[in-house]
Formats: sequence, C-alpha cells, structure tokens
Amino acid sequence: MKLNVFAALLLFFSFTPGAWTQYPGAALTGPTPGASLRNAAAATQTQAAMVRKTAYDWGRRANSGAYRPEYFQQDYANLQWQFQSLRMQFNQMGSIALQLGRPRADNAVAELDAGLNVIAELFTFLEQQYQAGALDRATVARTCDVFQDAMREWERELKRSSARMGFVW
Amino acid sequence: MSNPKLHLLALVLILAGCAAPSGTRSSPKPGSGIVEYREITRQGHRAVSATVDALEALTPSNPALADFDRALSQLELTSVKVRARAEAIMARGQAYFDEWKEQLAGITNQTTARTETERYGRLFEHFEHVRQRSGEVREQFRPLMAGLREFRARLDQRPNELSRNELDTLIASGRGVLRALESVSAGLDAAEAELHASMKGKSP
Repeated sequence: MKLNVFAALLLFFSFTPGAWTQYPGAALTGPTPGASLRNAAAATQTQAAMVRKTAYDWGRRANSGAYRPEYFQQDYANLQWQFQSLRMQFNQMGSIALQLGRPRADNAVAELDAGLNVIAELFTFLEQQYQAGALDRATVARTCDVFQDAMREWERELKRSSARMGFVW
Repeated sequence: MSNPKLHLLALVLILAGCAAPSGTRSSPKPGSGIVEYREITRQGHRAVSATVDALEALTPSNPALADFDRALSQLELTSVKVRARAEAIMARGQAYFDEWKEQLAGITNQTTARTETERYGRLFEHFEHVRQRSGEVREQFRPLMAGLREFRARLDQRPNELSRNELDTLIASGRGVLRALESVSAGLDAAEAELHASMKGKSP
C-alpha cells in the first residue's frame, strides 16, 4: 500500500477552481434547482463532519503512547478516503450551483473549492514527512488537530455561503 | 369551499408556499463582498504578524514553543480563508468581478450613462489591483506555511538544533506575506471608497 498511489488519487479527485466550468452537470435531486442545491449542500455538510470526526479519532489515537508507526498508513488512507468522498459530494453541489448561472454562487463555490485545496496540503505535508522518515506521533496529532479545526472553519464557510449560492438551510 | 375560514387557510398555505426557502435568493448589500474580503485579509495580517513575533521571540537558548504553537495554530485556520479567497479571485479572473459589478448595479441613485461607465471603469481598476496583489498573497503564503510546518515538526525531534538562519528565513517569508496582505487591503479600501462614493453620487 504505497502512499504515492493515494497521492495520485488525491490529485485525480482534486481540481482547480478554474476547472468548474468544465465539470459535467450533476443530476437534480429535488423538485427545483434550489431544492437540489440544498440537498447537495446538506450531503456535503454531513460528509465534511465525517472528515472532521475521522481526523479527531486519528489524532486521539496518535496521542496515545501505544500508537505505532505502522498504523500511520491505514489511518492516512482512511482520512484521505473520507476527504475524497467529501470532494465528490462537493463537486456535485458545485455543479448544481453552476447550473444556476449566478456570479455570486460561482464565486462562493470557487472559494470553497480553493479552501479544500488548501486543506489538502496537509496530506502533502504528512506524506513528505513520512517519506523523509521524519514523521512522529506529535506531528501526526498536531496535524490532525489542524485538520479538524480547518474543516470546522470550512463547514462554517459553507453555511455562510448559502445565501450567495441562493438557498437557505 | 364557501367557509371564510377555509378561504383564509388556503390563502395562508399559498403564501407559505411562496415563502418556502427553496431557491431563496437574498440581494447583496452593496460592497459586502469587498468588506468581507478586507476583514479576512486583516485577520490574516494579524495572524501572520503574531507568528512573526513568536518566531522572533524564539532563541536557541530559549525555545519557548507555547506562544509559537498558539500563533501557528491560529494562522493555520486564518490562512485557509485568506488563501481560498485569493485563489478564487485569481482562478476566476474577470468572472469574479461580475459579483462586484452586481453590487455597483444595486446602487439606485440617478446617474448619467457616462458617469456609470466611469464608475465601472474605476471599480474595475481597483479590482485588477486587488487581483494582482491577491496573486502575490497566493504565491507567498504557500511556501510560508510549508516552511512553518516543517520547522515545527523538526523542533519536536531536535529541539536543541534551532537554527538562526532558518528562523531569519521564515521571518523574512512572513514579512513578505504581510506586505502582500497590506497591498490587498489598500486595494480593497479604495474599491469600497469607490462604491460609497457611487452611493452618494460623486467621485471618491
């Protein structure tokens, strides 16, 4: 189980905000585009909370003296899998928002997308430390804390952006 | 259905349906996007500034990490918002301006077409300035954060190997980000002044 494979997967699921206009349209799941967008945002919010919980659980384990280096790969893969699922949920929501054709919504989606890209840099940091043989429990635990806090902030931004995207929770 | 109470109930239900939140769209307060970006930029400036101060207080003989950890933790959070905003404005380019333009169009005072065109041009100039400086924020923030994370991780393993050169490099990098943020903030101030002047119907 190579981390390089996960890094490649992350790159595959990641894309820049500028790529939004090229993303395929998502299926509408509600009676109106607004309802579909609200459904997609709710699913995105749920998955974001799952990412945050996964980071919390990993950080708590890493803080324990019994945590061993060989656990790292499994925990890393698990968090990255949850993050990729969040990406997919978010892509769905972003595609619906794009269909509404409102500059405010497009800007809000681009900002949230860029926020996920910035948070994903924590994976790169962990991977580099691991490859260099420099990763220890304290760094893993601290990075998990940052991950949790950053996700909480991102979730707040998602809620705050609802008016710009054109729906109410 | 001749009962007046039923008529009233039907009317209430219809109105409630109209007020349902599906697809609700609130109109933006003029300048809200600009004010919000400026507030985020200021928060970012405070967080970078606190981190630079904490770095300056670190010495090989006194690696007091508590203040630095607090500052870095806050910077990690704030930087996500600042960098996301800078990244979005760069990636979307002129399309991002459409939202600012909407805010200008929301101003309802009587103006001539020529005045309107001039205002648009001035606001666009401010936008371009903010966009260019946002590019600098984007370029400089990433290596700063990567450097700070690596530095902090190394301190866990070798706390006695605090290098003055490395500290100076990080401090210089932090100051570069501060300058870029100040420049974005100045551009946003000018854009907001332009919008306020438009509301009053005169040049800033």
